[in-house]
Amino acid sequence: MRLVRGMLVALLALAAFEGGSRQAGWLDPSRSPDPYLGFPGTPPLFVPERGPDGADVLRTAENKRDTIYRDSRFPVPKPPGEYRVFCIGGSSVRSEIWLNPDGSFPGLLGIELWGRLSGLTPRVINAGGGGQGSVQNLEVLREVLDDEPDLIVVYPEGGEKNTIPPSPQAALAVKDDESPLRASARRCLNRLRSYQAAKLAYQALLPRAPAGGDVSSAFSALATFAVSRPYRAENFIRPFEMKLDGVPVLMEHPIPAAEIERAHARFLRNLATMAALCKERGVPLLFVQPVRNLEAVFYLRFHIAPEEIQAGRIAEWRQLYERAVALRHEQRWEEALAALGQLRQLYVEDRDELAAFLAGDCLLQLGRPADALREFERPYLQHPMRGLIERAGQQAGVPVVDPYPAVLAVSTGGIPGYEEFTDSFHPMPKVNRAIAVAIADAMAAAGIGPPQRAADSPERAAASARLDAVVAGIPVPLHTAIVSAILHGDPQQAIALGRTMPEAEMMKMQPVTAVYLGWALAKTGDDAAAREWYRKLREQTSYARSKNLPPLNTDEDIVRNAFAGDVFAWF
Amino acid sequence: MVLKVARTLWREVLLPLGVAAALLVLAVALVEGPPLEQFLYAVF
Repeated sequence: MRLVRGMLVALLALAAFEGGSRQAGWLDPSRSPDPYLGFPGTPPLFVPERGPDGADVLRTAENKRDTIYRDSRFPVPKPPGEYRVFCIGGSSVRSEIWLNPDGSFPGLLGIELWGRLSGLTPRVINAGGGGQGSVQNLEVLREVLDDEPDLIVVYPEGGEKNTIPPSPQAALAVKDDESPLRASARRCLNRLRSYQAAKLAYQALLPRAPAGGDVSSAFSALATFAVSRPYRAENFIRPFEMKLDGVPVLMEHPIPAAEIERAHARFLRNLATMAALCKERGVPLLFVQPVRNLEAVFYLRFHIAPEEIQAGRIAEWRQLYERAVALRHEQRWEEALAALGQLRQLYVEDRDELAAFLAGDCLLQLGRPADALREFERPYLQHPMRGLIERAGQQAGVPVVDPYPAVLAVSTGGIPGYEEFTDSFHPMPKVNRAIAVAIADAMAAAGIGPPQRAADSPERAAASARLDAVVAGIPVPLHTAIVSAILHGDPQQAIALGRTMPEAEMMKMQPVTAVYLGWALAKTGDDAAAREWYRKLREQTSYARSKNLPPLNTDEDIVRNAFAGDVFAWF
Repeated sequence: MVLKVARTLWREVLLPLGVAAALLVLAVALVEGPPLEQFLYAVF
C-alpha cells in the first residue's frame, strides 16, 4: 500500500513538473543545444509555429536552425495542389553558401519541378544538415513522413565518417547497434521535460571532459598546426601539397576492418529502414549518388597497407613511388607516368587513390584529357559508398539517381574540378542543377509524381531560363577562386583575389580563406609577405589558440589524427 | 510531533521523489551517449 502511495506521489509530482515546465517554457529540448546531432531521441527537426500571416507552419527548430540545418518552413496542413518534396542529407544538400538566390539542389529542383509538373505547386524542403550521416538522415525521414510528403530524396554523404570510432558520435552509434532498445527508449523519454532535467543533472555529476571542438576537421587541424608553430613558409604549403609531393605512408589501416564493416552494415541497414518506412506509408523514395570534385587531392587516401603490395616488393614500390613523385615534380610527365604504371603493377589489387590522381594529372599535362578522366574518376567510382547505395537501392527496390554523367557533361574540360565544386565535396550551383535535373528525370522514369510536361514545352523552357539565371547569377566563392588559381599555377592571381576582401573581414569571417591566402603568398616565394601574413593569422584568428591539437609531426600522425585514419576512403 | 511530520514527509513525499529522480538519472546513464561536451560539430 505504501509503495502504491509512493508511486502515485512520484507520478503526480512528475506530472506537475511536466505541466509547469511546459507552461513556463522551461527545458524545451528544441531550444537547448542538441549535442546528439539528430540521433534517435533528439527533438524534432521541425517544430510548430504561427507564421507572420497567422497561419500554422512547421519551422526548423531553434537549436538546429542556421547552425546545422537551413531555416526552412512550410505550412501545415499541406495546401491543396502542393507537391511536397523533402531532400534529406548533409552539407551538400544544405548548401548554406547558396542561400539567396537558393543555389542548392533542393532549391533548383523546386524550379525544375515547377516547369515539369502541370497543375501542381512544387515545394521542395531543404532538410540537409552539415555533417549529418545516415543515422540522423533516418530520424529526419521518420519525422517528415508525418508532414505529408509526396516524395523523399536522400543524398547520403560524408557525415557517415562521424560514426567511426574514436569519434564521440560513434560511441553512441555503436551502443545503439548493440542494443536497439536504447534508441527506442530515448525516443520515448526525450519527450519528457523531467528527463531533460535528469540529463542536466547527470552531466553535472560527470567529471568534466577536456574542452574540445576547436579542431573538428582535417583542414582545421592542419591549419592550426601550421599557424601554431614557429613560422616556416613550408607550414603553409605542406598541408595542401604533401599528397602531391610525398610517398603515401606505409602502415596498417588505422581504422580496424571490423569498424569499417560495422559502419557499412549500419549504413545499409539505415537505408533499408528508410525504404521500409516509406513503403509502409506509400511515399516514393529516391536515393542519390553523391558526387565529388575529382581534381581535389586533399582527402585522398595517403597510406598504403603492407598487405596491399605483393610480398617482397615493398622496397621496389617505395623506390618507384619516390621516382614517380620526383619526375612529376620536374614535369617529366611521360616518365612519371611510366614509373606510376610500374609501381601500380606491384599491388595485389590496385586501390591506390593517390597514384590514380597523379597519373590523371600527368595525362592531363600530356594533353590526354579522356585518359586523365579515367584515372581521376577511379577513386570515386571505386568508392565503397557508391556500391553500398547501389546495393541498398536494388535490395529495397528504391530507384538510385546517379547524377555523375550529367555532372561530367557540365564540367569545364570534361573533368569535375574547382569550376564545379567549392572544395572537395560541395557542389557549385551548376552541379546542383545537374543533380536536380537528374532527380526530375528519375522521377519521370520511375513514374513518381504526376505525368511530366514534354521536354519542349514552354513551361520547361521557362524553368530552364530561370535556372540559367540563378546559376549564372551566383559568383564563385572567394576561397574556391583562390585555391583554383594556386592549383592552376597562378599564385599571384590568387593573391590579387585575396586582396579584394578587407583583411580584418577575412580574418574574422573567413579564416579558411586567410589560410589559403597564406598558401598563395608562400607559393610566390615572397617570404617577407608570407611571414607577415602568418603573424596576422596568429593575432587575428583562433587557430593559434585552438585546444586539443593532436600530434601532427609525421605523415603517419597526419593520416591518423588529421584525416581520422583516412576515413574518407571508406565513407 | 515535528519529528513525526518530518518522517511522514520523508517517507511519503521526498523518498518517492528521490527514487523517481534517481531512476530518471539512471535511465539517462543507460540510454544516452558519452558526455555532451565531447561532441564535435565536425563538418568537413
